[in-house]
Amino acid sequence: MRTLLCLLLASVALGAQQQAPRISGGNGVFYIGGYPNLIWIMDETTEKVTGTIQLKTGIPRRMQLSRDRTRFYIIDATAEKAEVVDIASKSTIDTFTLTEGNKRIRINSLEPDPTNRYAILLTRSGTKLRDRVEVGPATLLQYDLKEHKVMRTIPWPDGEERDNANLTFSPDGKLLYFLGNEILIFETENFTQVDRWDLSNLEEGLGQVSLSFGGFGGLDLTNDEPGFLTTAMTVEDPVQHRRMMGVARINLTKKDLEFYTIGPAGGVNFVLAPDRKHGYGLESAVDRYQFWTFDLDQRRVTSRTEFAGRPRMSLKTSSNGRLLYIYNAGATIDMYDAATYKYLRTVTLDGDMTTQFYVVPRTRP
Amino acid sequence: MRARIAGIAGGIAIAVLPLVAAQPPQPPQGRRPNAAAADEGIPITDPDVRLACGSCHVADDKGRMTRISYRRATPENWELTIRRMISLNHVTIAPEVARKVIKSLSDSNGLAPEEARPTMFEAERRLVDYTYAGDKDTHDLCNKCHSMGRVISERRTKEEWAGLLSMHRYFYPGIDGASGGFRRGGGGGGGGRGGNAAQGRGAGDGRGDNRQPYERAQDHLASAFPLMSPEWASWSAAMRTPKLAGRWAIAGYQRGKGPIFGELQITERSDTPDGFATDGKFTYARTGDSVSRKSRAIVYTGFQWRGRSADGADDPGTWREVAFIERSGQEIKGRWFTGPYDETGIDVTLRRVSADAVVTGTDVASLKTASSGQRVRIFGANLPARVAPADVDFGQGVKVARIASTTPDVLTVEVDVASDARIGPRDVSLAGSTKSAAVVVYSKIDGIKVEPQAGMARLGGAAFPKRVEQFEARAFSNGPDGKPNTADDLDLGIVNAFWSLEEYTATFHDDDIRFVGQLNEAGLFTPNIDGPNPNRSGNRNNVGDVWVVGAYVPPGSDPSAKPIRGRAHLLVTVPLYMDWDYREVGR
Repeated sequence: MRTLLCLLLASVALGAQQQAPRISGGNGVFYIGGYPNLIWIMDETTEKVTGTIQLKTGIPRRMQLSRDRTRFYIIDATAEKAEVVDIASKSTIDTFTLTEGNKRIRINSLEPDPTNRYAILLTRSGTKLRDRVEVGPATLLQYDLKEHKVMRTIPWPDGEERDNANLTFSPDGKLLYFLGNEILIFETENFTQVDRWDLSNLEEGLGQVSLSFGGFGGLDLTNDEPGFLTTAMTVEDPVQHRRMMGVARINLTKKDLEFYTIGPAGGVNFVLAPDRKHGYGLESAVDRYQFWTFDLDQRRVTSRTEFAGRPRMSLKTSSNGRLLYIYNAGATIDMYDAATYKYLRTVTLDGDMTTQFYVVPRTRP
Repeated sequence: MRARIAGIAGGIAIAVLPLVAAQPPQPPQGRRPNAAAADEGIPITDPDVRLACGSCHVADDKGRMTRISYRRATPENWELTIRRMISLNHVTIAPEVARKVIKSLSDSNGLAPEEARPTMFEAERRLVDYTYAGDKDTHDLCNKCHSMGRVISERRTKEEWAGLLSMHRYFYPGIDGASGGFRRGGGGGGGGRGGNAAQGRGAGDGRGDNRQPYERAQDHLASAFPLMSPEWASWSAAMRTPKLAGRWAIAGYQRGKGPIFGELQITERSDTPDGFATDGKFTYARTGDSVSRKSRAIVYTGFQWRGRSADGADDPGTWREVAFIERSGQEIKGRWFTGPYDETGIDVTLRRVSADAVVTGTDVASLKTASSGQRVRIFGANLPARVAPADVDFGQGVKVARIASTTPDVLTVEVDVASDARIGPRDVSLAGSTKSAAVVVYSKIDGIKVEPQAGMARLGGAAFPKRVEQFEARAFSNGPDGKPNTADDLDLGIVNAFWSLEEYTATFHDDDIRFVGQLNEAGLFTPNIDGPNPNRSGNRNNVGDVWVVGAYVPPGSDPSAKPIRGRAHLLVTVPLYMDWDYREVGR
């Protein structure tokens, strides 16, 4: 009898242990572009696909969430076609291309203005002639989304052609920022450069600073306060020539910056947690995969732990900050407890992901 | 080329063992004796080419067709161009017309022997670790995606090199970015030509050179590989159909199987310009297995032999032949190869046979000092029927004790090697013919080396064929200086090793050895099936890397002694999903 009671108690205890509360990532929504030609919509709470948005332009390669979070701007895998989808109705509201005849225009990046009236496109042309091809210069265009026409070609600052452009608008849409170690600032009436902000030399004695903007798929400012941008930086001190990593919180509106170094430099990708008080890092070297946690108030790395990652991967935080999502490449999202880095589960989609994925909270943080 | 094969090049001549992968010779750097003439272009007079290409490539009043006249290339490179025209520009061209065009352009706009020799590894489909020494930046830029052999097997005007790079950027737009490195653009506010790289402005290499990487490569290629060269000027004037009909002695080497010897007859074909046919037979010296084979070939540009042993689609035994005809007309060297990835091959040397005796090699590669009665078979052609031991010369310290048997193509002898014979290579002479470095005299086996040092196999068997990899163990002596890995080390030839695989532990917990495939007792690695493996974490396929370990116990060793071991790296990778190989030039 006593043995039976013990067994009963043990089984109850085991059952309780097996049914430990499931850690939820929050109540946000995932949007993931993938193959073939669609965006998956997933409910973060249930971790189930709740719908899809079928795309008209092909396999999505870049996906940009509009400032008002009502639309996605998508560039297809050929980089020649753009598509605008309405999130609420899950439908395409516009498509456009600049390619005409034998002249291909590839759109390397697209940044819509906050009112969705126009977009800034970084393009490059390639023209196929009878016995040769000609590749044109990288060109920055203001494109009227309603009229489908190029409003203007924006001259390159100093006449220097750029191959990449991480662009963002000020919250009121009156300024356009070219993000880099030197941030170029344009007014958006005539797109003349009104200011520049060199971040590469912040302080005497600090050494050369280098900032990174955007990971796989480009910038994701979902967790940043409007007008702010939090990112990782590296410095190399001028005396010992040691490289260190740090965190910079950039106030674009006030042209102000807080920064601090936090540890030795490594190949760590940084993502901001929704509480803006923490950040997470993903280090990925050959067979050395680590999660890092940054306490941004205390300005220190609070923990680093190796985990069984993937040779190629990207990181997102859940909308409540309790889970870490590992994705890219392939069809799976691995979920980890952000507090313990413990692997929890894997969600498998019906096809490969081809864009970054957005974790959009139901309400703005 | 990312993997390397330490090929045993050049027939069976066993000489000093190269302990690093042999580097093909570097191409001659461009010299532009007459810059004005260099860009004049080569008139295209062949009506077949004019007709096939003329709708896009317009000829001027001097017969110079756009693009085509401003370029020279090997047959394989011209074939790649035509394939590109078909696949990317949707050209419709009948196979027989394409072959005519390749032949014509290879003759009128080809490479001179001096220019083609350094690129032979490309046409011979050798997996070599080639580094182009002319310009590291150019090497790094091109080699990210394809062999440098493809690059150095053509010549262009400066404008044409620019056009080629534009073509890359047009069809492969990602090439401008990190994956290709054609441009070094900084992000956002950075970027831009002439900027400060340290400030993230993109261009600039820290050496004061503000050109983009593709612009630097373009300039280098135009300088190093211009359209016109003294070599081409000389060869294009002297070029003719080579006189090859007659008997030829075969000497070759197949990794894992050892030396081969035989003879073939070359005849001229009347049905094809510069066409030839062969009928021959060879024997594997180690096993005695004989192979009869016939082939047909075309000679391009007067010296580039391209053939195949069979031409039927249902013939799985097809072997291709790529060889270089020496200007003397007395020797042809190259590679015969087969397999889905051309991975199985024989390095072949053909020597013309007249009425005189020819010694082509021996079945054994090495002879031990202080030994007697060692049997050696000497291969050749027109070997004399009556031979006395004194007629056969193995050089200092090696004495022929007895003639065991004679035939016109094999002479079997027994030799004694003195205990004080100096170690090193020996020439073998008989009836006025000498085979240099035919055997090596050694006193002790100091180790074994597994070849290739970096092997590669490709998964297959489901959607794609398998690429196998053959390993062999070769014994070596440290040579007169007694030190390993020096220039005087002696290659003692292939030995029968015991084979095994070991985990290559550069990555934790990948357990590649469980998935990659099997290595048999002959050193032949057969990879596992292609495609995702549900039994592997992450549903990964069966790729991986492992050590291939050979163990060998020299004859006469203490039975309790540990075997001598050597190892090589084997990469087992995915199938080649896009096969752009050139196969038409030998048809």
